[in-house]
Amino acid sequence: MKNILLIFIKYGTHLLFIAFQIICFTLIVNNNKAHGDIYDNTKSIFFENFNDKVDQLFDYLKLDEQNDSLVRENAKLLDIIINQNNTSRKYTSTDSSLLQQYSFIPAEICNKTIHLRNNYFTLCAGSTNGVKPMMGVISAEGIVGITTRVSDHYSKVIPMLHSQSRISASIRGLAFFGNLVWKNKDPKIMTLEAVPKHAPISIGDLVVTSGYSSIFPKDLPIGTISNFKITKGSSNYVIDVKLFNDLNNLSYTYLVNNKLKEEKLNLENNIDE
Amino acid sequence: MNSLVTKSVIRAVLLILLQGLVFRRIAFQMGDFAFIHLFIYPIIILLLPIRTPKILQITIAFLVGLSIDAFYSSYGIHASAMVFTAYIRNFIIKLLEPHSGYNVDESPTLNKLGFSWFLSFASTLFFIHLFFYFSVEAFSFVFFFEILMNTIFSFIASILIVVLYQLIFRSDY
Repeated sequence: MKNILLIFIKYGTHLLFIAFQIICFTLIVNNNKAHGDIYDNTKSIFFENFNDKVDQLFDYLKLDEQNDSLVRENAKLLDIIINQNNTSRKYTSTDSSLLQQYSFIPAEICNKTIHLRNNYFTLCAGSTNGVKPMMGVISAEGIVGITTRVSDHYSKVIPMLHSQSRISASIRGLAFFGNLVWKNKDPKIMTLEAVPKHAPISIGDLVVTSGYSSIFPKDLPIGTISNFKITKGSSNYVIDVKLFNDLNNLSYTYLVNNKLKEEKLNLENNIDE
Repeated sequence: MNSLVTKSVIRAVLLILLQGLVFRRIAFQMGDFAFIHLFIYPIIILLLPIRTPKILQITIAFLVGLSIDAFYSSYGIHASAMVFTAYIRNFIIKLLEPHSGYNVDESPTLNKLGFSWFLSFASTLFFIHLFFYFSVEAFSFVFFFEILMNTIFSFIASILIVVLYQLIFRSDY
C-alpha cells in the first residue's frame, strides 16, 4: 500500500496526464462524428484479420454439422436408388427408362417463409439445372412441396404448408388414399382427408406418398398418424398427420425428375377426351 | 500568495470568455486560404505561477480545455491539447531556466523575465500546443499538410496577439 502511494507521489503527474488524455480521447471519439468514424475505421483495419480467423473457425464448426446431414441424405438416396432398382427388376424389362424412372436434382433453399397461411420456398436451382414446373421436392426426412414457376437459376416451390397444396397420400400397407392438406397454423401437423371410414387405421401408422400423382415416387414416408376422428354425417376420416421433416430447419432439398411423367399424363388426358 | 491565486483565477475566466466569445468568431479567410485561427487561451497555463503543483497544473489545464471545448462544441479536443501543453510546460521551464533561477512564487511573464525569454518560452509552447491541437482535430496524419499549414499560420497570428497582450499589460497579469 505504501509502495503504491509512493509510486503515485513520484509519478502522479505522468499518471494524471495519461488519465486525462484517455478521458479526452474517449470524449473525442464518442462525441465528434468525424473522429469517431476515423477511429472505427482504423479499429476495423486492425481487427479485420482477427475477425476473419474467428469466422473461419465457426465455419469449420458448422461444416461438421452440414457434413452430418449430407451423409444422412446420401444414405437415404442410396436407399431410394436400391429400392427403385429392386422394383424395376420386377418388370424384367430391357427398357432402360424403367431401370431409372426417377432421378434427383440437388438444390439449396435460398429463401422461405414458414409462418404465413400461404408459404413459398425459393430454390437455388432453375431450368439450367433441369428443373421444370410441377416437379416434386423432397428432403432427407420427407417431402417438401411442388415447384410452380421456374426461371433460369431459381425455382419457386409451393410447400406442403400452403392452403392450396394437395398431396396424394396413402397409409403404408393399405391401398386407401386421400388428400394431404394443411389446415391449421402448426407447421408440424397436416390433415389427411377422404380416407373412407372402413379403413382399419390406428395412431402411429405410417403415412406415405401414394405415387398416383406421378409427382412423387411411391412409398416416400411423410409422417405418422397422430390423431383421427370421423365428423358427423361423413363417411370419411379426418386424420392428423405429424410430419417427419421440419420445414423450418431445412437447407438442402432434392427435386424429383420423373422420366415417365409425360407419357403417363398424355395417356390419362387421352382417356378424358 | 492569495492575491496571486485570485489574479490567476480572474485572468483565466476573462481569457476563456475572450477566447470563446471574441476570438472564436475571428477568422481570416482568403479563398482557399483559411489557415489562421486565433488561440490565446494557452496563455492561462503558460502564466500559472511556477511553483504551482504539477498535478494542479494538469487539472487546471483539463478544466480550461473543457470550458473552451464547450464554446467550440468539440468535446475533448482542446482539453487534450491543453493537458499536453501543461505536461510539457514543466520541461520547457526547466530547459529555459536562467542562471539566476526563477522566483518560483511568480508567473513567468514578459515583464518579469524579459522579452527574449518570454518569446522563446511562449513560442515553443504555443507551437507544440497548436501542432498537437490540429493533429487531434484532424485525427489522422493523412491531413499532414493541412495540420502543418494550420499550425504555422495560427502560430504566427496567436503569438503576435500574446506578445501584444503582454506588452500592453506590463504588470504580471
